[in-house]
Amino acid sequence: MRIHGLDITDKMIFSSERKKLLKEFEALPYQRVNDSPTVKHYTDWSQFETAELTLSSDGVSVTLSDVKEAESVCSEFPHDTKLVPLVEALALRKVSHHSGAGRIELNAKGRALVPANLKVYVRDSAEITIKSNSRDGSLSAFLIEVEVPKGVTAKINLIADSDATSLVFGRLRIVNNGNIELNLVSSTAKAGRLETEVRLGERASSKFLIRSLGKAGSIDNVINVYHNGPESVSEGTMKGAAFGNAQVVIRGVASILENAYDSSTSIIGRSYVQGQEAKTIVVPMLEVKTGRVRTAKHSASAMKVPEDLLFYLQSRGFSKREANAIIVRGFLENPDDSEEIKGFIDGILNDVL
Amino acid sequence: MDKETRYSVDLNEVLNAAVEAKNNRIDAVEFRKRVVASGLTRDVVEEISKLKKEPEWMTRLRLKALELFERLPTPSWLPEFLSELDVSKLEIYVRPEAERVSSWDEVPPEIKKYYEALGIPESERKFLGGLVAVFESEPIYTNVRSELQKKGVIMMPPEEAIHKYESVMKEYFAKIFPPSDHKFAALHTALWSGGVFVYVPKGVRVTYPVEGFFVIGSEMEGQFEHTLLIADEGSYIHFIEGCSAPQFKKFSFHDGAVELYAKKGAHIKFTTVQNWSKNVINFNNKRAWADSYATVEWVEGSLGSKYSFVYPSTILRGEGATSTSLVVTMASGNGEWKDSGSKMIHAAPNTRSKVVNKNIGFNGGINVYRGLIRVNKGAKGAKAFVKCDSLMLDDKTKAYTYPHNQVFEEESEVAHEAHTFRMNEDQLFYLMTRGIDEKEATSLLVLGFIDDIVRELPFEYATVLNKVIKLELEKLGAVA
Repeated sequence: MRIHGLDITDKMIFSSERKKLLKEFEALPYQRVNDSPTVKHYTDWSQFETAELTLSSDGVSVTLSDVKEAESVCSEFPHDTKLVPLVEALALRKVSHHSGAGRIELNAKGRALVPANLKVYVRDSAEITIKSNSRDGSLSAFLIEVEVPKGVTAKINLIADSDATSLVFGRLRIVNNGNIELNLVSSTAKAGRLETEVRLGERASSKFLIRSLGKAGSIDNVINVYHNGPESVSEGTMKGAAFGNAQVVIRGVASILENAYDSSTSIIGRSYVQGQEAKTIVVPMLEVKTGRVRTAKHSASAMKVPEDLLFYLQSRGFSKREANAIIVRGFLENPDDSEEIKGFIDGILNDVL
Repeated sequence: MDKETRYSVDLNEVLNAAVEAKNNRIDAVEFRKRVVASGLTRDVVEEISKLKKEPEWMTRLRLKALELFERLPTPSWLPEFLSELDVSKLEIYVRPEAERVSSWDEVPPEIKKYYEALGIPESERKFLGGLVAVFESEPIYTNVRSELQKKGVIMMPPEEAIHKYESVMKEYFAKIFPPSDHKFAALHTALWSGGVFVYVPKGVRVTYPVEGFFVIGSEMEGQFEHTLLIADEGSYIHFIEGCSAPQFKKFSFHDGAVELYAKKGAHIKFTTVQNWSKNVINFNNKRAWADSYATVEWVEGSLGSKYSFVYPSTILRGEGATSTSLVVTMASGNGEWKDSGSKMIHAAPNTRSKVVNKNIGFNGGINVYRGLIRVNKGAKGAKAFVKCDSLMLDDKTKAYTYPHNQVFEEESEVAHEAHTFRMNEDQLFYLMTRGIDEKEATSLLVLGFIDDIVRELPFEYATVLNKVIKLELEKLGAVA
């Protein structure tokens, strides 16, 4: 990765903390441990490696309440990939104590590198929308931490919209002691990696819906749910759809830790493949570290649109193309979606169906 | 007769070095130095090969594998705790002071005692077709039923096959599971000793199950036995592999390999009942090739050993090939680690695979499922199904599931299902109200849980499995 507009030796711009982070960026690999014996990395890091970008000082807009600049630029994310220290070194870390509706937006255009680094303490019921927009060979990279206290309900939407020439790297960690509803939609990029981590405290609950689709390039969605506290509940559906020559990866681990007794987790993964060169990888992992588990289950499937569904609709007068479109739309659309998410999914589907 | 020859390798040192290499604390050069210092050198490997009077290509293969062992990175799944164990010395090659014999009466009495305690001759006489027993590292007792011999089935130790069927061995040995695959596969190929070579000719159907039995006979010893089974077109064989070891004070290390090749239309059923004693570290590298319309079935009961790493894998290379893998693992002691999981690679159209894994954990045991389903581009109409259930009988137990489903072909179906749960208290209560005590009820439910797989075992083994599970459950405190 080459980043223009970045001169490490320039004392004026970079504090010693940032310089140290940039050194770390140079020293660290994209990924340390291989993902599987057959496919080493589910994220196409080679696209990140060959990218030529220019650091952009604008492109991030934050509409949250009570936003302040943080004392340190470091986030709480582990430095297991070079992109974490990079974002920390380049972004201004902000802290917000937020309630109500809020929005974080990254707009990366024209080979720009747009980094964002935020920590949000949710004070009261809130709905936060995170939107990353990458166009024309740019990279949006964000590190966002959200803390939801006991008794508070938060709705979090993450929309990662990238075109086939751009890159996206994002980490979202939600420390949840209350209730959350997570709605994540992502499109394939030239290469993309989105990691979402939910940590559940005592009696916390989280529901999530992940949808990822595209017709070119690749996207790697990692959704990890950690049950830290007893009687916590997680429930979710992950849906992927790969068209054309896209590669859609949906994976993650649901982990019930030693003290999280009487917790339950249930995650369903479904992925459609449609296209000669389309690929999909579904990796639903389960780690149960206590025998006092209420239920822990996971299922996953990957296939093309089922023939019997197509046949049913065709026998009722729809053409194969229409039937296919109805099924795929039914699979990916959700009646509760906001206009923005609806528009985003529609935009991609209108193009491929 | 040669005098007993021993070469010892400080395995602790080898494992420590491997774990350190995994964490990038030492480089390849340093790793090599450590391996040499542990006693594992080119000279030792050459000497083993010389003692076995092997042809030159085998010596070269061993040396190449040793080089690979030194160069390959440590697999990331290698747990750190292996370096903390007391595996002080490893006797790589032990030649028992007994010539190879082919009738039970000629076997020396001290070796006989082991086998009799394990019930081998009994089962051999009763119904098992042939038997190659490996005591320590050299096969000492071979007997292939005359019917099998008449049908042309070849069953002999690979050491013998190397001379008698050199071209076949050269063609397939270490080809299905190449040493370049990972560090411990390389170590196996460098040091392999004993095992069994089976060849079933075209169209021959072996109606009796055939058995190979492996025993670790002395403390501080490694087993690197190699099983190579080739089923020619349209043939059928059911091979049973039994593993056992008496209880010793220190850890022993087992790094075996199984290579199966089912040619067009052939059917191989490979059953393993592993009941190593609780201080065995068990690596077993299992892989099969299935040509068109061939079937490979893996059935595995992994009950014994402290740490076990076994991943039966099938490469479905020919159109219409099928493979199933049924695995039961039981982790019943504190820190006991059972790492299993099946890999199915769909490389041809209309191939099918089914994986069923059942894990039972209690007393702080850890069960891990690490599976892979891969559908390659062009494998149109491939179907794969994975079911992975874990039953946990107490609080301290852990169960991990890591399945990878990689689909590179549009016209295929892959489904995966994993479920981790504890003992159903309603069912337990139901049985107890009918006068069955808690322990009995628990073992009934546990046996019911693995019934799908036990049904696939030959009767004698199913009985042994049930007995072992009941005995293990005795150790369990109050359930629920």
